[in-house]
Amino acid sequence: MSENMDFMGMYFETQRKMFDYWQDLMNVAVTPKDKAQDKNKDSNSDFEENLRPTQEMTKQWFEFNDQYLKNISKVFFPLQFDKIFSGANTYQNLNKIWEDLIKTITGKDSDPITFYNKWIENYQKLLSSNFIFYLPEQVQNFSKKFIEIYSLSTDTSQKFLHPWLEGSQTLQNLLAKSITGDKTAYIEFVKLWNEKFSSTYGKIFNMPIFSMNRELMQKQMHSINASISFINTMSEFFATMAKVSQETFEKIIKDYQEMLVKGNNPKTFKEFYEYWWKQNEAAYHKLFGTDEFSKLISQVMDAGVNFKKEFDSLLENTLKFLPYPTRTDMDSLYRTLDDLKREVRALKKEVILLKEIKANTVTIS
Amino acid sequence: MMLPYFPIDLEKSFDELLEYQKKFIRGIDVLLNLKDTESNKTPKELFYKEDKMKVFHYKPLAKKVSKVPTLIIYALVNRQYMMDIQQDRSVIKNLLELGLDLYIIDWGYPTAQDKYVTLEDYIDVYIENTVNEILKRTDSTKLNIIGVCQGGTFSAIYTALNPEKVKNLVTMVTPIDFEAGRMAKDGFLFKWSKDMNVDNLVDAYGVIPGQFLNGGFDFLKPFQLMLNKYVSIVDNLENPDTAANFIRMEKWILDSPDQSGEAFRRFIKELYQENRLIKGTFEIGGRVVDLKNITMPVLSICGDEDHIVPPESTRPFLDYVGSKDKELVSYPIGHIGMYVSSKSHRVIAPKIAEWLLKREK
Repeated sequence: MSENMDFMGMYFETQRKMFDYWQDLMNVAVTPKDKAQDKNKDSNSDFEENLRPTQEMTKQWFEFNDQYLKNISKVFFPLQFDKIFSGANTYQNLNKIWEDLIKTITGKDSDPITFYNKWIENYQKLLSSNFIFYLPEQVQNFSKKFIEIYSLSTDTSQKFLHPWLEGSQTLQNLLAKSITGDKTAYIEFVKLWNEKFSSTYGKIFNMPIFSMNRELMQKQMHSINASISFINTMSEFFATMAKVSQETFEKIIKDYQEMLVKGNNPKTFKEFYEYWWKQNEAAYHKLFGTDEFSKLISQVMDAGVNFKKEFDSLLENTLKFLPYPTRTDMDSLYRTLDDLKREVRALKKEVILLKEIKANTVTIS
Repeated sequence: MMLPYFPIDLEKSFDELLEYQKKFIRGIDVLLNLKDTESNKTPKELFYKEDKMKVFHYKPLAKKVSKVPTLIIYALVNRQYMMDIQQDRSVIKNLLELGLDLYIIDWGYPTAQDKYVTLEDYIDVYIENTVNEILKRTDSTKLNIIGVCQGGTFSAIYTALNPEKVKNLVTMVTPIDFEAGRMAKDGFLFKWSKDMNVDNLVDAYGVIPGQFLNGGFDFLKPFQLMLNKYVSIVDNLENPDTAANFIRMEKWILDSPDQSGEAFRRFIKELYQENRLIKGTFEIGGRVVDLKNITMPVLSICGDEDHIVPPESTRPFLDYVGSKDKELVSYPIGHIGMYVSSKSHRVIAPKIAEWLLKREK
């Protein structure tokens, strides 16, 4: 067995480390008060000392997963393994947040706002890294293609657009606000951006083009326009989703603090995790049931589909000089086949009917 | 052990993390050594084939077998072997052991060339030809139909158009009243479909990617289905049977065929958005589908916790049929649990078999 595949070896090594950390933890945890008194420690530093072995263990586990198990997962049930690993990573990342949460808001100078600000960015990353993975493969690929074509298409006009964006202080202010989850600011940003875009560069994308490559250029322009529209809609969608997760995160911190005061807080990380995901699920269900969300998800889909259509058209135009059938050619073929199939089916029925009539006629005569 | 300063049970928390880590590693070891993760194993033979559709006839497993053939019509979404996911919890095997003579439609995997396949093709051609073939070869005049999910909607439509060929109709977790589904607390699919520009979608894709639908199903319960399912399975992965069942189920979930565009367009537009079946304005091949034509015995089964087809969209069905012998049964169970849970094995399959056999004469 190669070094990389020494599963049990790594397993035992991890267990040995776990045991060491467990011993460390017990040594610290059994007499925390005495130690605190002896050394005049405050509760935060004492608590950190208690937590350190757990954090070390988590770190080791992460390394173990990343370096070894992920390689195995490529061989057996890759999709299922990926999802389990992704779930485990999110679980462990949430554990880090929880450790920091209890450390922050049970300490002397409880400051949930600082905690929130510290974690909110990573929290978004934690959630998105787990969920982006579940997007349908086509959507993931589509997004990649979209980013690719968008980069290519906008490359030549980047210099033109950049100063325009940079020069707009209002846009920057709104964007800055939106980053912290201010959905209203974000929507204002999108509206203003669209307004400026339509009155300036949008005109360029729609203007008549006179040249030998007129058709191709027009398709490029339409593709860029559709991609920008898709970006805007996707941005609004993600802002809406992010807003819910941020508000729920804030609520969880606040509620957790209140529960601590009452003494009915989740006592372990597992209990906290259960509480956390159910709160999030409920918050998203509330969002999903609204008419606004229903309209938004349709807009996102429509913008994506519009972009796909423009992009497909652009690709076809680009590829039409190559000796391969395009999708339009194939569609025409499929239509012909479908018509023929229906005709054959109808004729078969007629033949059966005629045979039956003939058989009946023979019987009667 | 509660720490003196903090209301956190650090020892228990650490124990839980350690235990999770151990289970995780042992679970991975179990997954690496899994041998049997196949489904669809109950013996059967190919009975009929047309285009991509295949019809299978299961080998009888009871000494006394029903003289009335029973056809299972599954949905176009996902695959029919959900009914035969694992041998110890197979609805199919259970129904066979209870004496039914079973046939099942496997719709196959539509490809780009199937973009023009319509609802007429599915109902007036594929189902119609399958029914005729079964009746002809078994020398029967009528058969039973068990329709599952969207296949139940197809079954109701087919039965309303051809009542003389159907002896009994069973529908399971079947959407019929799409407006009621939209009003349901968890009817997100029904709500979101209302504003969907399905024409644009079908025109762009031709054949709708199965993963597009799968993504939609996962999105209905994002934290439960995309995260907690994979976190909580770690608790039970050490058990090889549980691990194998988990993998079977995951394979089934990911095995999501693409959808023929034209059929998808009409199903979303005229049923999800316009609720035409209930309004009596839905047509197949120029014929209006009148649910009152369904006059044979009908058994409708729904899951109280079904978030894909909320029971609200299923329950009204019996109010619209013309049958006198009709029964609605609901179980405290979800959409998938209807086929793979222990309750399905113990209660639901026996209920269906008993109900059909009682009405055989």
